[in-house]
Amino acid sequence: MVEHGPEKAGVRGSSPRLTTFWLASHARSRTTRSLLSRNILRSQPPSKRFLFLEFFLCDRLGTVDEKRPNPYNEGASTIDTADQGNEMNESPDASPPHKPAADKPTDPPTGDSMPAEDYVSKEQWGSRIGVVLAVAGSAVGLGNFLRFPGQAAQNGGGAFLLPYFISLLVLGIPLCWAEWTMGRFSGVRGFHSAPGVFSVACRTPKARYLSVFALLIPLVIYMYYIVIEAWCLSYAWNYFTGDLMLGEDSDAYTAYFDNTVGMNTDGHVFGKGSSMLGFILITFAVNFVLIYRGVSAGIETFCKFAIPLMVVCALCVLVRVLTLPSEQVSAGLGFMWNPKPEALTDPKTWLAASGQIFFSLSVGFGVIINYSSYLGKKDDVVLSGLTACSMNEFFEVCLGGLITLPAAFIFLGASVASFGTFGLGFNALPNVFAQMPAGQLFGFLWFFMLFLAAITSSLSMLQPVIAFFEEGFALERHVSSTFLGMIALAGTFFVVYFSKGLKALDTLDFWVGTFLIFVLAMIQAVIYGWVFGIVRGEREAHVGAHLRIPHFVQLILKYVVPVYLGAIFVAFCYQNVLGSTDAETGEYKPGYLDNIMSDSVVMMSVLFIIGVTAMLLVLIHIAGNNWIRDGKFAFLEEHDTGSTTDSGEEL
Amino acid sequence: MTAGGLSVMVLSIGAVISMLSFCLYKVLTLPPVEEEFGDEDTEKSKEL
Repeated sequence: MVEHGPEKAGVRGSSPRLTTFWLASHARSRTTRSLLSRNILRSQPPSKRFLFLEFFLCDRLGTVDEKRPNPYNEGASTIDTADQGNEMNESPDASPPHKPAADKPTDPPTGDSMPAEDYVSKEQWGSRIGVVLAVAGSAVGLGNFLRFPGQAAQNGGGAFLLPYFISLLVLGIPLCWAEWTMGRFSGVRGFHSAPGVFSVACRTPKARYLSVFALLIPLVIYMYYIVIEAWCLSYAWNYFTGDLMLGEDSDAYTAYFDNTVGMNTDGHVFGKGSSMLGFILITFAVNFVLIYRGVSAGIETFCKFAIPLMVVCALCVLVRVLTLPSEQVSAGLGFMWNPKPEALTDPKTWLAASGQIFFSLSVGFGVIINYSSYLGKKDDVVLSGLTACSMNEFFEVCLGGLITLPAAFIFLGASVASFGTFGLGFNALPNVFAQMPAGQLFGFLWFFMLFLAAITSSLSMLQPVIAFFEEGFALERHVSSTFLGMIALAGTFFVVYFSKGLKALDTLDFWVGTFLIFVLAMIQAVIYGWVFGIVRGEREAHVGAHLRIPHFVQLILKYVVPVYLGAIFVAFCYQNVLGSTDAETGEYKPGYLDNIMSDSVVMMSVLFIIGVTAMLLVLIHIAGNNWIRDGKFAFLEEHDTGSTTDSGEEL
Repeated sequence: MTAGGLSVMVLSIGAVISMLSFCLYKVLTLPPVEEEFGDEDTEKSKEL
C-alpha cells in the first residue's frame, strides 16, 4: 500500500491523524486517498488547510522542497494534543477507556481511515425514542406474556427472578450493547446488512459467510411467526364479533384452537379452515406495506403508535385482573411470585432463566445489528440499548408477570403451570376471559395487544433481509420487498400446509428459532470480544454516549459471555437435541435429532432450512463479490497491512 | 400470597419501573442529535 514509512517522509513523532494524512497521500486507491485526505483537511483550521493540501500534492508528485515547513511536523505539537493515547483507525476523539463518565457526550470519530465521515445513509431513524421503540418492539413478543410466566412458575416462582436478573445483567444487556456498537460502527461505514456488518467488524470480506445465520434466522422465523400473528388477529376478531365466547367448557377452547390452526389434518387451512388463510394474507399485507415504507416512515412510525397502544391495552387487562375478588387475586399472584428458594440449587432453574433472558431480548437474532446500523455516527447506543432492554423487561416482568398466570390460576387452578406457551395463550386464557365479567372486551384487548406485539417483531425480521437485497444487489426497495415477499410466502405456505401437530412450525422454531440463535449469539460474542476487540468496542460504544459502560462489562463480554453461552448451549443440546431415558420409568424420550429420521415432515422441514441456508450462502457470495468489485471493501484492505493484538486493537 | 412473594414482586417491579423511568427520562429530555452537536452532516443526513 505504501512505499515507505511516515517517519522516512519526515513525519516525525507523527500522531495518528498525521499518519493517516501521510497514508492518504500514498494510498493506492484514488477513492481512499480522496476520502482520507478530505477527513484530515476538514479537521484542520482553514489557515492550515492550504499547507496540508500543498504538501499532499507535492508529496504525490515527488517535488517536496525540504526547506519548506512541513505541516505534518509543524502542526504536530498542536494537533497531537487531541490525539494522544489513541491508535490509528480508532475514533481518536472518543474518550479513552477507564475515563470517568463525562456530562457531555463524546465527539464522533474524525481520524478514522474508514469512510465514516463521508457516508450518509439513505435511511436513518427519525428520533432517539423512535429507534428505542423499534428495538423494544422487536424484542417484545408473545414470549414476554406467555413464556415468561410459565417459566417462572415452573422454576421456583419468585426465586426464579434472582437468576433471571443476574442473567439480564451478565448476558442480556452486555450482548445488546455489543450488537448495538457493531451495528452502528458498520452502518456509518455504509453497511446495514449482516454480511457487511460482519465483514467490517472482522475487517475481512471473508467474514461475510459467518453472517448467513443472521439472515436465515429472521427470514425463517418470519415464515412461521406470521402464522402465529394471524392466529392472534383471528382471535381478536372473533372476540370482537363474539364468536369466541364459548362458555366455561375448557374442551371447547381446545377444539376451537385445533380447528383454527389445523392441528389434526395437514392442509386443513387450504380446505375447511380457509378463513385462517384470509387472516394470514391480511397479516402478510400489513407487514409488507409497513416494511415497504422504510425504516423511519414504516417501522418507526408504526412502533411509535403500536407500543403505547400495547401498554394501554395491557394496563386495561391488568386493572381488570387486579380488581377481581381480592382473595383470588392474592392467590393468583402468590402462585406466580411466592419464592421457592430450593429451586435455586437446581441447575435447570438457572438454565431456564438464562434462556428466557436470551430469547426475550432478541440477542443473536440478526435484528439489533441491522436496526442499529441505521443510527447516525453521533447517536447514542449505550442509553438507547439500555432503554430498549428496560422496556422489554417492563412488558415481561410488570405486565406479563402480573396478568397471564395470576389470571389463569384464578379461574383454572394450579394446572395452568404445566401449559405450554400456546396452551396458555390460546386455550387457557380464552377460558379465563369467558368466566370474567366483560370478558369479551378484555379478550379482544388482550389478543389485539398480542397481535401488535407480534407485528412489531415480525417487521424487525424482514428488515435485515431487505437491507441485504438492497445493498448486496443494488435493488430498489420495492423490488427487494417483492423478492423477499415471494420467498417468505413460500415458506409460510409450507408451515401452514403441514399443520398436523404443528410439526413444521415446531421443527423450524427449534432448529432456527432456538438452536441457531444460540450459535449466532456465540459467533457475535466471539467476534466482539476477540476480533472486533473490547478496546475498540469500548471506545466506539462511547461515541455520542450519555451513559458510561463500566469497564468490567467489556471483560465480561470477552471472557464470561462466550463461556456462559457455551455452557447454556451444551446443557440445552443435552436436554433437547439428544434423546434421554426417564430415570423413574425407564422410558426413552426421543430428542429433536431422533425426530428427523422418524418423521417425514420434520425431515422436510430440516431440508427446507438447509436449502434456504444454501441459497443465502450463494447470495452472500455474489453480494460480497459485487462489493469487492465496486471497491466498497477498499478500506478493509488498508487494515490488512496492520497487525492486531488479541483484543483486536491495532498496533 | 406470602410476605416473601410480595417482597420479590415489589422489588422486581420497582426495579424495572425505576430503570425504565430513568432511561426514558434521559432519552426524552436530551436535545436532538443535530442540535447537540451542531453538525451539518447530521442535518444533511436527516434531510435525505
